[in-house]
Formats: sequence, structure tokens, C-alpha cells
Amino acid sequence: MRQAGSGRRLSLFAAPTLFFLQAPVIAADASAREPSMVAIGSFLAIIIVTLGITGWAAKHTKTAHEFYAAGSRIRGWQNGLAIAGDFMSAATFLGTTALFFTAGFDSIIFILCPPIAYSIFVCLMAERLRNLGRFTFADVICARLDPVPMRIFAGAAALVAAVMYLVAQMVGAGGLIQVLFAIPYYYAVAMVGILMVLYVAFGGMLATTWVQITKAILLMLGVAYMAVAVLHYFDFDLRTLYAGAMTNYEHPQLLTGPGGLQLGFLSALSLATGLALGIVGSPHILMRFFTVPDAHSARLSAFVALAAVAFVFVLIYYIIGVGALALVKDNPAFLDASGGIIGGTNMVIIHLAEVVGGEVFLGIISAVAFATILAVVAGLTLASASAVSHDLYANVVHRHTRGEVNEVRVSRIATVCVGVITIGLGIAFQKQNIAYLVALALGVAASANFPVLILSMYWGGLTTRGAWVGGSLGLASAVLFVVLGPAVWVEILGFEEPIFPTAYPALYSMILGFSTCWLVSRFDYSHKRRQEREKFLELQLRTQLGHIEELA
Amino acid sequence: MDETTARRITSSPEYQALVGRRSRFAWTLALIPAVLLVGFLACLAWAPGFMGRPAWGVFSVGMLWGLIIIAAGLGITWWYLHHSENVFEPAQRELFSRLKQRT
Repeated sequence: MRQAGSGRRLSLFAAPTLFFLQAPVIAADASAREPSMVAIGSFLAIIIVTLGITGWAAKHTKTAHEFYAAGSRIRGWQNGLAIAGDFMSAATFLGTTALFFTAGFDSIIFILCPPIAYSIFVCLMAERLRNLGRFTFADVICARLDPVPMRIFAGAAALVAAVMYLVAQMVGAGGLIQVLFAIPYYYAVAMVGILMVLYVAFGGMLATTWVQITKAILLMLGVAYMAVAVLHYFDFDLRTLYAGAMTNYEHPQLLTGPGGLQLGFLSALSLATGLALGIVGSPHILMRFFTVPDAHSARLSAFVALAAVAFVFVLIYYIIGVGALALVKDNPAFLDASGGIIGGTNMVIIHLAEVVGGEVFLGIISAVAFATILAVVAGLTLASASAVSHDLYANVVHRHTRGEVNEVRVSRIATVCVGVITIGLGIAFQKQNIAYLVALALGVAASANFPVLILSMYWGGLTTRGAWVGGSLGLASAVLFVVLGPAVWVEILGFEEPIFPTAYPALYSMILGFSTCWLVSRFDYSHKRRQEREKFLELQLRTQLGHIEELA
Repeated sequence: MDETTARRITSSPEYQALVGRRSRFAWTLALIPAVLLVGFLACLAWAPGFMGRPAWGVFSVGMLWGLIIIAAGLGITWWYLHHSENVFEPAQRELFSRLKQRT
């Protein structure tokens, strides 16, 4: 069974890249087609609507609480859609289809990680995040550990994860917009950068949330329509649909059975760990749990998020991806001179939209892709800016001596800086293979943020020294393993053999992070240790009982 | 809150009962989808033939197992949501008011 797939074995780290959006490949001669009026119209409509949301949100964004957390007045279901939106980048609907298109059955690992991640959120984290934190996940850690070293650690880890993710999104976005709307790469990157800075700097979390909700709804409607259209094309007969896909697939058994990605147990487990816990440790997703009024809404939002993500993923995996294989693969209309898909495999869902819905639907789906790009980069920008202004500036550099108004001003400046830096990096990395950036971002989130956060919530023995040594080691090893692995060492630096053999290192760096936190805390005999234990006791009471001041 | 009060509350049996019940429930539920996924990955790596076997209509065993993991995630999050609203939060409020009367 497995030998059958070896002939078309994918480069191993291609998998996460496809999932998280790579710049479409543009052949030198085949320039993008002229976009239709519908495409241009929906494109402009999205810019106008999102700027309108920003204008409205700006009126309600004055204090730091409003800027970072929308005043904690977002409803549970609204926040749920926004969290789903944060997770579903343009990659979800382009990349998941592309991954199914190339790897068949094995791409299922990517759609099975959200149920793990959101179960952890609902059962283990939502309540405590909401009860112990204010604006960023560092607040939760600092509720019991020494704030200065932990802020520096958490701010840096959040910044690294968010900025790397942001640059990866930016490079993908530039290429995608170039193909979809025939806008040159540089203008596309600059435009996305400027729009995201406007949303965040003026509208803060409120604008970012509503842009994300708008996009999530558009994405769900688009995907639902596409699934129905694909089924309609095959007279609502799944057998004909799957049979059509099988005839186009080189190894039909890999469409419904394992082998497409050639994963061993440990690689598969490590890939899944990185994806699932990378979601749980992502600063831009964690931040959303502070935008709701109470623990109940926090749990509700994680449930709604899972429902929305599952809806989109199930339709893409079980219907749309299969439809793309049946209708786009080997369809001469979508092949370039060399026999590849026009614009690269990330474009298959866009081509599929044209087959099943014609020019109008093609335009709408292109605009939905554009909306998903804007919403995700806005969320990441806000997370990066908060790491700078709330964690590093207000709590480390000035230790709350400058007041909240000043903090909001600093975060607006930070937003602009993040925007300028990302536009610059987006242009610098245009021709680069950015696969490793996403692996890095998720690896850091899973190996640095997640261990420190969950231990600080649940383990009384954690000390400041243990947390920052373990977290930093998790961060460093997550970066190092990717750099020494096949994605950078072989692919970018051109060496023959990787020093770190696996393309999916998240499991190992996470174990390293956890065990170092434990080991260093265990043998930490500093005088702070006793105080921190007491503080943990008090926080436990607070999470279990609420306002414990009334009991004293 | 001073340490003696905190210790007195945390060592009381009613507090420990609530905390124990809640954390057992939360950890058990949170681990179910993870265990299902690890089993899935083990079969994917070691029993690819079994995973690829047709099970129901066009779906193979693996594809159905995937749907089960997603359904389990949804079911579990929904169950926790309702259980904490209907059972744990009332229990917490009751314990809180009892502790308050005692102070």
C-alpha cells in the first residue's frame, strides 16, 4: 500500500506550507487573466465595508481595555466566529483544498487538529484565561509569577510567533492578490499592510473582531455554496463524485486511504501536536478570550469556533477537495504550458469555483479569499502590537508609570511599526520559500507559549526561574530544530543532509520546553518559590470561587 | 486574602469535592479527542490497509473515523458548556455563599 505512494512522495515540509498558504506560482509568460467586474466590485465592497467597520469601531476605542479587548463587550457567539476566522486564514480554503488535491486522504490530519485544540480551550483554558487575564496571555502567567522576567519572555515569544506568521501570510497574500486581481506584488503587499494598520490603529480589537466576523460568515457562505454547487454538478450522487476524482488520481487508493504524505507514527504525531497546540498557544487566538464579559461566554466562543471551523473543514475535505480532483485536475482549461495547475495548486479551489459557479461565483470567491487575508493579518498585527505595548512597554520599560492613554498611543505607534516592518519583509521575502516561517510560528507557540501557560494555570510547583528557562529553551529549540531541519538547512541553505532529521519538530521542542520547566522549577530553591506557591493557592481559589475578597 | 484563610478553605472537604469533581470532568473530556486522534495516527502509520478499507458508501474507515473525531470534539465542548453552566456554577455559588456566612 505505502510503496504505491513513494513515486509521488511530497517533500515532507510541503504539507504545512500548503495548508498555510504559499505564494501562487506565476509563470513568467502566463500573466494573470483580467479580473471580472464582479471580482473588482466585490473587492472594492470588502475594502469599503471593512473601513466602515473601522470608522464605527474607532468611536468606541479610547481606553486600553477597549483597544486590546474591545471593552470585553463582545458576545460569546460573535467571539466564536472571530476565533474561527483567526484560525481559518486564506490558506484554509485554498491550502486545505490544495493539500487534498496533492496528498489525498493524509491531509485529514490538518482538519482533525481543531477538535483537539478547541476541546482543550473549552475544558481546560477558557475559564482560567478569562478569570486571570486582562489583555494578553502574559497577564495570566504574571498573575502568579514575577512579572518582569515573565513579561520579557512572553512578549518576545508572542512577538516572534505573530510576526513570523504575519510575514508568511503577507508573502502569500501578495502573490494571491496578484493572481486574482492583476495587482502587482508590491502594490498588493503595501495595500494589505496599509489596510491592516488602519483597522488596528484606529479600530483596535473591536474593528479587528468585526472584520473577522464578516470574513468568517463570508467564508462559510462561500464554502457552503461551493459544496452544494459541486454536489449539484454530480446530481447529488457522492458515488459519481468520488469515482470522478478517483479516475483523475494517480493512486486511487491514496484518496481514501493513508500514504500520500508518507508519514510514520512519530512524524504524524509531531505534525498533529504542532498544529493542535500551536493553535492553543497562538497569541492572536488567546487574545480573543479577553474580549468577552465572563467565563461562560469564553467557553461558548470556543464551542462556536469549533462548530464553524468543523463546518468549513468537513465540506472542504469531503466534498470540495474531491470535486477539485474530479473537475480541475487534468482539465486542459486550467493547465499551463508545463502541465501544472495555472497559478499553482493553491489556486485549485478558485478554478473549481469557475467550473461550478461561472464567472460571477469566481469573482465572489476571489473576494472572499481577499477578505480572509485582510482579517487574519489584522488579528496578527494586533497581537504583535499588544506584545510590544502592553507586555514590553507598559509592564517592563515603564512599569505602569505612564498611564493607560499613553499605552494606547504606544500601541498605535507599534501597530504602524509592525505594518512597516511586515511590508518590508513581505517584499524582501517575495522570491523566498517561506515554508519554514509557518513551521517556526507554530513551533514557538506550541513549545514556548503553551507549556508555560498551561503549567502556570495548573501546576503549583512552577517557579519564575523554571518558567522562563523552560519557555526560552522551548522557543530556542523550536527555532533551532526548524533551521537545522530539512526546511531551512537543506532547502534554503543548500546542504545535503539535515542536522535535525525530521521536518516536524514541534513534538520534540515541546517536550523539551515542558521538561525543562519542570526540572528547573523542581530544583529551584530561591526564596521567591514559597511566595509563588502561596500566590498559586490564592489564584486557585479565585478560579474556583470567584470574588474571594468577600470571604476574607 | 491571608494564607490561613486560604488554607482553611482549600483544605475543607466541600471545596476539595467541588474542585476534584470539576477537574476530573474537564481533564477526562479534554483528553477524549486527543486519545481518538492518537489512535487514528497509529492506525494511519501501522495499519494503512485497515484505514483505507471501504466502510460506508464512498467513505473508508479512516474517513469515518475522522468524522467521529470531529463529532466527538463538538459533542464534548457542548457537553462541558452545559455541564458547567447547570452543575458546576450553581455548586460553586452555593459553596461560596456557605463560606461567606461562616466568615
